Amino acid sequence: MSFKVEIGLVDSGAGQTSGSYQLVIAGGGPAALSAAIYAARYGIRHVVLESWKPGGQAALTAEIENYPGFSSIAGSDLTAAMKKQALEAGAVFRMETVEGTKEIDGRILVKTDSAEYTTEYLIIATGAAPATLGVPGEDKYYGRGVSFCATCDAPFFKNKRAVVVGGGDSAVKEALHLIHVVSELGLVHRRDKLRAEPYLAKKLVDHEKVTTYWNSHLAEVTGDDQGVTGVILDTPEGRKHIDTDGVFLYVGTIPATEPFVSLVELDRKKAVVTRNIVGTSNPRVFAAGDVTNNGFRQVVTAVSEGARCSAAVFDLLESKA
Amino acid sequence: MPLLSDEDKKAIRGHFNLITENVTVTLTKAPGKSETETILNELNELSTKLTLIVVESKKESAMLPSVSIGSTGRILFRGTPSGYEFSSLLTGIIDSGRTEKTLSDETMAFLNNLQEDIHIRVFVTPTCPHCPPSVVLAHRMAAYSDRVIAEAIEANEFPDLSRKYQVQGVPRTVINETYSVEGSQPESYLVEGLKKHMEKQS
Ligand SMILES: Cc1cc2nc3c(=O)[nH]c(=O)nc-3n(C[C@H](O)[C@H](O)[C@H](O)COP(=O)(O)OP(=O)(O)OC[C@H]3O[C@@H](n4cnc5c(N)ncnc54)[C@H](O)[C@@H]3O)c2cc1C
Repeated sequence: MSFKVEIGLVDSGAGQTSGSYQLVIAGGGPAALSAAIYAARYGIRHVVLESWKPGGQAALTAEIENYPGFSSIAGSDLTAAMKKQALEAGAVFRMETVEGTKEIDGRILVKTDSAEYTTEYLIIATGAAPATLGVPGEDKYYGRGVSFCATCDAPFFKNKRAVVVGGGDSAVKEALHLIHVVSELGLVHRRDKLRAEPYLAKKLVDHEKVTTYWNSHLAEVTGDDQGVTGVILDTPEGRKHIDTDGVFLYVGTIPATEPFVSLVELDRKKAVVTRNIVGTSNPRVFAAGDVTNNGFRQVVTAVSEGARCSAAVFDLLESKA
Repeated sequence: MPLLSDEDKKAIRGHFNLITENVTVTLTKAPGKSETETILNELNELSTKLTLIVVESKKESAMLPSVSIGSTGRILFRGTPSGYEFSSLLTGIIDSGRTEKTLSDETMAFLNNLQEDIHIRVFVTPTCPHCPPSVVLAHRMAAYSDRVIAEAIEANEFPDLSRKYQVQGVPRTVINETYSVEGSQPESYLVEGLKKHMEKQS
């Protein structure tokens, strides 16, 4: 049994410090945490506004095996270590959700659910949220068998059946996490081959508990008043009903850019369009991590971009000093 | 072997320095050895401001172990506060030992106007990194208003209750049996949603 010592929430009670800053960092995942470490060490007057998901998506995976320096580390341990390092460096965090932003008189106004800030520069590091498929039953049974977090919810499916939808790294990694717990696992993928790292993909597909449904789409989640009872799939052989207790969805992500639409250019998929890696269409705004159109969405790229953002802000502040 | 490493103890001691007022933590447990008692005893050593009271209960129906922070009996943890639940417990203790404002003006106004009692149940698992904000928010509401009782419930340890409230994903916040929220939600969303729900009901 482990006991996690993380008290990042203590000083983050809402609504205390509206104010004026050199830099606001929006987000609470690896990109924002890295930006915070650098901003604090550069002595930039800043505040980090992190919404209600400490550690971001990275915290939700049981095991990260490709972050340099660690052969294997729980995602939440990695992000907790980043947060601790940021706090020790003097970073200031508030548990607030950015709701809107606009430019006024050469400064940026950042409105959250409980305060308002003005800032010279903004780093957008709000990452991405899990995409949904919009099929019947998906919303209705969220939290009652439909899940986006295998790490959090696996205990509810002990010796039960689960279906994982998706074929990328996240889908395969989380399916491999679930496999230890569930009695049977169905893997539903819209192509005939997984996109995930080949080594992980093989491990999953070869597992005795796994049944694969290639070239198949989730059409509906069925259930009763207790929760999920099955899924209906569109397969090359026609519609199939499969009994299951849980449905885990890893079908991509949607960048969390809603509060920034009037500030920076977004692409078709709502990602922030970057130039020179972390610059945006707005010279006062930088962006890092999964919220950008930089591709290759990983912890290692998110932290590197976060660092670049704060370094860029530091250079700009220095050049004016 | 102690449950907390020396490094953890050092970190907790540092955080407990923020505590200015005495805090009582009451553990109610079934007879016999309990990991919750061990961890709370270890915590108790880390601040002179903490007082631990241990009560044994033989009631079969009780939700044990149960940890109550402060003297009101309204800030509760049901089940062993391990994993991320432990972080929520530490935050609850520190919050109770300080006078800092922890809620937004809107939330406080909502709580000041409450005409009925509300009971918040936040279902969690120890492996859920996004659960602590929901627990901490519920406990802060209970600390502020004596119309609120907030329980953090370890869903695995109380399967019957989890089944009753249809919990198969965490965090799940259930308020007064009639209103529920899935996932980690910002303070303003929870309060707005609850406000609307209560208006509809009245
Ligand atoms: C299941 C899974 C497994 C993965 N496994 C790996 C792996 O093994 N290795 C690897 O390198 N990567 C992995 N990834 C990818 C990795 O987690 C992401 O690339 C990384 O977390 C991106 O970091 P980020 O900071 O850009 O965004 P996120 O992690 O998405 O964090 C965004 C943060 O911003 C906050 N936020 C959002 N909106 C607002 C707002 N309006 N106001 C304030 N804050 C806001 C969120 O609450 C969150 O804290 C995995 C992802 C998933 C989902």
